[in-house]
Amino acid sequence: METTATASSTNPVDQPSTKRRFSYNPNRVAHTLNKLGLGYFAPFARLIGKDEPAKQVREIVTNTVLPIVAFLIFVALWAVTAGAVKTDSVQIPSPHQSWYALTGTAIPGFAHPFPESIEGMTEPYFEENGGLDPKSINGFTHAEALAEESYIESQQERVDKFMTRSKEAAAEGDLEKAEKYKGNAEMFASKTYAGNKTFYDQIWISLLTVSIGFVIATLVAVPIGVLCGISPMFNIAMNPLIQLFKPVSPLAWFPIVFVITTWGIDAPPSDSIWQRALFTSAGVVMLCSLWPTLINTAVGVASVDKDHLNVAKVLKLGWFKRIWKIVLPASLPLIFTGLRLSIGVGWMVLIAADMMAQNQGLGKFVWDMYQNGDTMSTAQIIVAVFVIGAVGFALDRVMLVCQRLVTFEEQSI
Amino acid sequence: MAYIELNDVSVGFGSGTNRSEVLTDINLHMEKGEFVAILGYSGTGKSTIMNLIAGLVKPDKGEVIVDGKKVEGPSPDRGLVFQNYSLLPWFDVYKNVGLAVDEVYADESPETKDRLIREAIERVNLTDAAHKKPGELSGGMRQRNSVARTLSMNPAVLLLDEPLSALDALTRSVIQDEILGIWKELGQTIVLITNDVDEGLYMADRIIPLSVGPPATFGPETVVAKERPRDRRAITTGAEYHPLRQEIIEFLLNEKEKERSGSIRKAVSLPNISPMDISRHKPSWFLGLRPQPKKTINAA
Repeated sequence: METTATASSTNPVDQPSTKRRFSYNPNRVAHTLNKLGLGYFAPFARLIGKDEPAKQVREIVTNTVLPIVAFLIFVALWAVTAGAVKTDSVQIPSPHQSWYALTGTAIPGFAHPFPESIEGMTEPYFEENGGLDPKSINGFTHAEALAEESYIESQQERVDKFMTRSKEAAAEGDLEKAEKYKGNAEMFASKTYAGNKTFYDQIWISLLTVSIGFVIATLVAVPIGVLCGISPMFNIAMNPLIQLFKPVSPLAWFPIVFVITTWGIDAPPSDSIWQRALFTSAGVVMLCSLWPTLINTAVGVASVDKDHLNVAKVLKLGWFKRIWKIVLPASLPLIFTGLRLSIGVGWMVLIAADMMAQNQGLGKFVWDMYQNGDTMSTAQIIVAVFVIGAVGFALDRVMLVCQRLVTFEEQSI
Repeated sequence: MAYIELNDVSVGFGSGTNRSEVLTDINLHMEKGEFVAILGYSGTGKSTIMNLIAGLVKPDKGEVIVDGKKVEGPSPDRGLVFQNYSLLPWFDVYKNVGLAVDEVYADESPETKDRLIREAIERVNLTDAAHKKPGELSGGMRQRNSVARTLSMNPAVLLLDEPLSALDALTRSVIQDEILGIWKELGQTIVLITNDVDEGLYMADRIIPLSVGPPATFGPETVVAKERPRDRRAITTGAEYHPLRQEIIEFLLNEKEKERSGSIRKAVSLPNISPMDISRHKPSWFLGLRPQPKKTINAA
């Protein structure tokens, strides 16, 4: 470390001391947490490092208590007003009903949220299902798991039966029959349980769909955006198309994408996860989410610092090197801003696209529950709303972290 | 024939009524290995002169000749050090220099390239910061990095476009000495743009002031025929530099005075328009909501 003295004679700041290398540096941990989009936990990290503990406690209390209070007020208002909106068959579900719709159990100490649903039900009805109402999200998931288990058991019995017969036949010397029974056993062993998709399956399918749409959108938008940014002519040519298609609703794109996927994709077997509907849905997501990336890339590339381009000129960099070493790195922060907006739009559009395409995602869940049309189903829609919001928030955070990782520190003169 | 020649060069920007001349009748002759400082107020076109020699700007009239060849575009032979460093913030010191070395010595082996990069960094005393990014460097270190990048291309001409004007006075004097050291060792032809008379007196063989434009042109040059290394104290307080400084400052102050008194007129013509009276215009169109009259069912 002593040797740096000559180079930094004009810059005496930030000389790392050898001492701090082995000690917990709350500042650095807090900085990393902030960079990872986990700024909420930064005061905890500082508190552990005993960096102004009183201030950290104050900050934690503020950061934690205020949102919780606001949320509780929201839930209270919701609980009070929910019962007021009522039709013949449905009412707006209360928080307790929504909780029940997710977990399948009532909160102890409160009146049962769906008294009519347990009327006349005997205890075993729930006990068979681990105490969970099978109409709730978790209860249904549990019931599906039980059904799959019993299906596999019964298949196993069949397989075992045919295997024994096959062995018996082989012992008797009837090889042809032995082969046939063995074939039967293999046929039963290959069957998988084709039950209903649960809510949790549907979350994963939604994430898969949005990822496919988002990746294709990025692969299309970034190159076109780069071309728009480099060539004003290309930009002028593309501009009407971009402006025209950007505001189009996913519902309008759906029939067109549907025709394309029906024409382009062979119908897969029904137990495959790669259904046409998934690609239709992903296609709609792609068409709606590519615009923010395209526009931000174009702006980012067009507004690369003129000095950086002059460097490229003075060094006589070739076209490809200029793009790869200077233009793209310089516009990465804006490209990622675009990607972050895109994934937000994509996730929002996905629910509508899933509904239209009947893709087995969260949109279909909401649609099916809407078709059921009772309060229990509506309560499940409310659960879905919270989950959709939470997943959207998580996606945004992931993109935010990516954005921060690629953002270089701007030069300051 | 001089090594660098600018013959009757004029440059302007824009076209039509938007056109403004920046430089006119620029004549400059420099010998190989000479150190010339060009001095002027900001915004008078000093950087444009640099860009002309570098080949980033083409003259509208006249010609720029370096080493007997007409300048048609940028070349690694004419290394430009930018006023605001122009380092790529996503590369560290080593890679910023490496970008230039990779380009100019494309055919060399990786080991040679590595050696050239290290030499250039060593020459500006940045070896210990070789793997830091520009954002982690001080202003002086950034400019050293920029100088190292230019030096690594081994240019015959070094074009320094106000390289030190963004730095504090102490750092500035350190880097001035470093540049002079490099010049003494490698003997490039150097054009330095500056707005600091003392910097010119300390470093250059000749100082050429630029008039206040637009369009700007060169004033009478001042030859600084003093021994090197020069004594910084003598420049600021000594009597021997006094007449030189007086000469230059006199010219620059006169220029400013001329601008103020209006003998250099900045013509700004206002558009000759009068507001339109819209009350007299009857529109020949109307705005309608339905293309056809609405039909109604007649009960009778």
